[in-house]
Amino acid sequence: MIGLKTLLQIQDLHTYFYLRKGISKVVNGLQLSVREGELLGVVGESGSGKTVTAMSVVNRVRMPGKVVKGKVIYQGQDLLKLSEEELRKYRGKEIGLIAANARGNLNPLVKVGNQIANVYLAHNKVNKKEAWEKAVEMLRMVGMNDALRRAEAYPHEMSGGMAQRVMIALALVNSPNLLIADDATNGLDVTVQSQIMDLILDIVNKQGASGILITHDLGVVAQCCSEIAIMYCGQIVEKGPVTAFFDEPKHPYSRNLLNSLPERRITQERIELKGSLSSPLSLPTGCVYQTRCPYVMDVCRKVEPSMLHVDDNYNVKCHLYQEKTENRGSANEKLA
Amino acid sequence: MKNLLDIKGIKKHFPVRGTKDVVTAVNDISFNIREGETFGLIGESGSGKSSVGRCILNLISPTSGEMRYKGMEYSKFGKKEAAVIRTEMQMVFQDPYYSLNPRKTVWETVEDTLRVNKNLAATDRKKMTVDALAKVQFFENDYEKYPHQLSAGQQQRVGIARAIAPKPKFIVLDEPTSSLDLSVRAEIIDLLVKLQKDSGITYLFISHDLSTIQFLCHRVAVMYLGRIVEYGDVNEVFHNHRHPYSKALLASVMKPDPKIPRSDYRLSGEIPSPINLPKGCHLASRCPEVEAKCREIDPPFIDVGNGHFVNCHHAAPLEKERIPVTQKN
Amino acid sequence: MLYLRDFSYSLRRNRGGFIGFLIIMITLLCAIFAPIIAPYAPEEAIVEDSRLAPNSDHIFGTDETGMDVFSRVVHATRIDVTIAVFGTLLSLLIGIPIGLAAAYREGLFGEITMRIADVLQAFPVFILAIALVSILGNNVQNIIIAIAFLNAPIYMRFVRSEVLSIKQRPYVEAARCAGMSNLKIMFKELLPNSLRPTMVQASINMGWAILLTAGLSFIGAGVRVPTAEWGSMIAIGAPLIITGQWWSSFFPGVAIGITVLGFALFGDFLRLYLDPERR
Repeated sequence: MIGLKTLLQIQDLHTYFYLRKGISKVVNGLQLSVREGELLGVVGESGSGKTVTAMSVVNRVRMPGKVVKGKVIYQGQDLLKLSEEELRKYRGKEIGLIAANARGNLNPLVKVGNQIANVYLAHNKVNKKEAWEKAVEMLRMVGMNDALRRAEAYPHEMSGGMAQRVMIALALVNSPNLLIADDATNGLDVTVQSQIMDLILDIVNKQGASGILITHDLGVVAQCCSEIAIMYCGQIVEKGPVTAFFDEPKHPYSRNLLNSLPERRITQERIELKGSLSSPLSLPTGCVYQTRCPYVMDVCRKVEPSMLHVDDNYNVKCHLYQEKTENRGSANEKLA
Repeated sequence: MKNLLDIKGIKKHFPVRGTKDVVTAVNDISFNIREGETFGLIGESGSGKSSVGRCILNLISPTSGEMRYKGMEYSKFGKKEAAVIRTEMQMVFQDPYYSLNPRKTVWETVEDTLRVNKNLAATDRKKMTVDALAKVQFFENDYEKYPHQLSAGQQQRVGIARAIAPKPKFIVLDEPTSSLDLSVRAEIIDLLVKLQKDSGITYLFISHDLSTIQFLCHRVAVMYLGRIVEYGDVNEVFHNHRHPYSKALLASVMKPDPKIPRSDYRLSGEIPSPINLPKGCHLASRCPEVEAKCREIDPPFIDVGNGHFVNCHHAAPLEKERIPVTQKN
Repeated sequence: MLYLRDFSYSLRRNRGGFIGFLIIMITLLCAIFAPIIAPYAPEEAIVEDSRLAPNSDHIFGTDETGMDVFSRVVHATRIDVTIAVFGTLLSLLIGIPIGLAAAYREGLFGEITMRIADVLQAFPVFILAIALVSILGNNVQNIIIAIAFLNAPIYMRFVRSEVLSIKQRPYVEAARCAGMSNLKIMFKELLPNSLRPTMVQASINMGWAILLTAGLSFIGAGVRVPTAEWGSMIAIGAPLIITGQWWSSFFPGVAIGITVLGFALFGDFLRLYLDPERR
């Protein structure tokens, strides 16, 4: 299913926000790639820069924010170098974005059917009637019974789950190759969340698309994704196949994250976290996790670790694995 | 173990503005909470779980039903008696930021809760404030901070300090961890567990986060559309659930372990409106196991053993006779 | 002391607010020290010196009856500022508690007070003011009452809508959980958190009150003529503008403009200053 070709590659992405208090380095030096047909889960806590990353990919960061450095290469084309005009061909067509808070992202004054039809019209040479029919078809596809009537509804007449389905229909109407879901199920009830995830998985599989699921829910990633990337302070600190990650996470931050899960804590003691989160206004030199890391070494305070290749397709950004890449095995002893 | 709270048949109706309709938020609920335990109330939005918590604290008064605290029916208490019970029952809220007055410092937030008790001398009040704050790891240099200067986890700890300051016997925790990040959530849960160990507080933990409920609670009740559909020991309910709604709810939880396959037990559709509920089982319109009688007759509570009760026509009873739950316990 | 230092620090960092504060201070000083600042008595008419253009003796010139415009502009601050300050204070005193109670006790009481406010606000402010003053009689005290009466519904609405939104916050519920009395909840939890828009509006309304007073006096329904008041001064000077003697209307007009601007700027500053998250 997963091809070998890279569909999207983010290289050394830096997105800063220029605030009165100073420069907030929300995304700094992010590296990430998505292969064709892959569903990647990006996990991070609030403030880790997840949403800004998604916005940077489609080049939608606005003042006071700015992408200051980096490349977002989609099928060989750097999206950050394109003009607004050229970008429009990608947004909504090649790349579909599902945002959190669906109702806030839908126009309250336009019927949902028309909102979907308009996106379809923008990228296809069809007339209004055909576009409307396509919209109804999409609503049917996202599991709305009574799609014809629903297409006539306004967003406020819908429940949160329904509105989220409309957002998905909106993102998928032009059969994008890449789907970015930014906390798409946040705030929904578990039974609805489960339905929405079924839908996203189904569509991604059917259309052979790739997807990035941005979330703070490790459960969603474990159950739905093939790859996982962990974000901390605007950087990817660990990335690898889901099964390998949940077997044995490498980065100290990931370990702590998994240890916080109630499911794991029934059997394991939690290590208490010390120190505080680094502020994006004043990031330390060296590793971003040094303020909380229980294994912090001198080198962590001086040198920023590079993304180390520790296993097949498995990368981790931590000095503890420096030796492991040269001399396998010793780092694990240190962590034990 | 003695029962701290006995809740019997409480109902709460809210009128819908401008119409004659009523929303049935809580529909004939009975359960009891034992001293020193953590009782979990599981439910999705619109299930009425928060209304139950607020009814118990008399923040909203139930339309009908009986509530007993240590055997005393307190919902009809006069002002004086109610004030005594007030200090013994407290609440921690979901949104840590909005649950704090933005113009009060950490110290004022906690101390003002104690000022209500006029018999308390100023020195005792100060001492109790220091104690409560120390229990949540707040010390002198943070006393003068305002809520917006604190992280979400710290804000929630102030909320907890405010609740424990009058030394209550019982605390309603209304989704106290739902809006927090994973590691902060773990920190708050640990704090709650520690407080219970130290002073034997009884908790009512209201949440839709099933894994936290499983970790924290001793007994749980699952709510759907204002009714309890299943209740019992936490392990019974999580591993031996009989109600289709519990099955679907637990099947929907995505376990953070890729080796556990996802169950495909699903309910169809969405939760119906709580205005003018149909007769029969409320789940009938979504249930995969629905039969004709579900749409006609209210299901009884069936004792399936081990203090585990299921409100469904399909649950196999322990013995032949069906025992309504209100008469048990 | 600490509050004062915090206030002056914030003020110095906000240019608009600083200018506004400066204007208000100068106005107040003029009001207090008017007899010292003004070279002539405000109602001292020297007929042979009438209609003099601004010169070294009369820097703002003199009006029709030979009264010194500068002295009158300075003295007028006394009346205008008094009316504005007391009128606004009185309307706050009426509006805030009613708004608070109307929001806390919804239902019949809330409905009735709101409908009364609707009726009051349905009339054009100026017409209502004229009516009130002509019923009560036109003196300073009655203008203050008229202004209080007209502005109270505004504050009532502001407080009420704020309280209605804050009332649902969990911290109010927490206060009730703790067993606080209704009065305590109203004044300790609800009121401090709902005053910000009201205070901002009050500052801006000070300016309006001055405009209203001037307006009433301009048409002769306000302060009686020989008394130094900006509106009546403009009225006296208005016919002279055609014949080229612009100064006797112009300077009081400028005074009104600057004062209103000062209160508006200061109100804008208050909006930021009273934000609880600023601390």
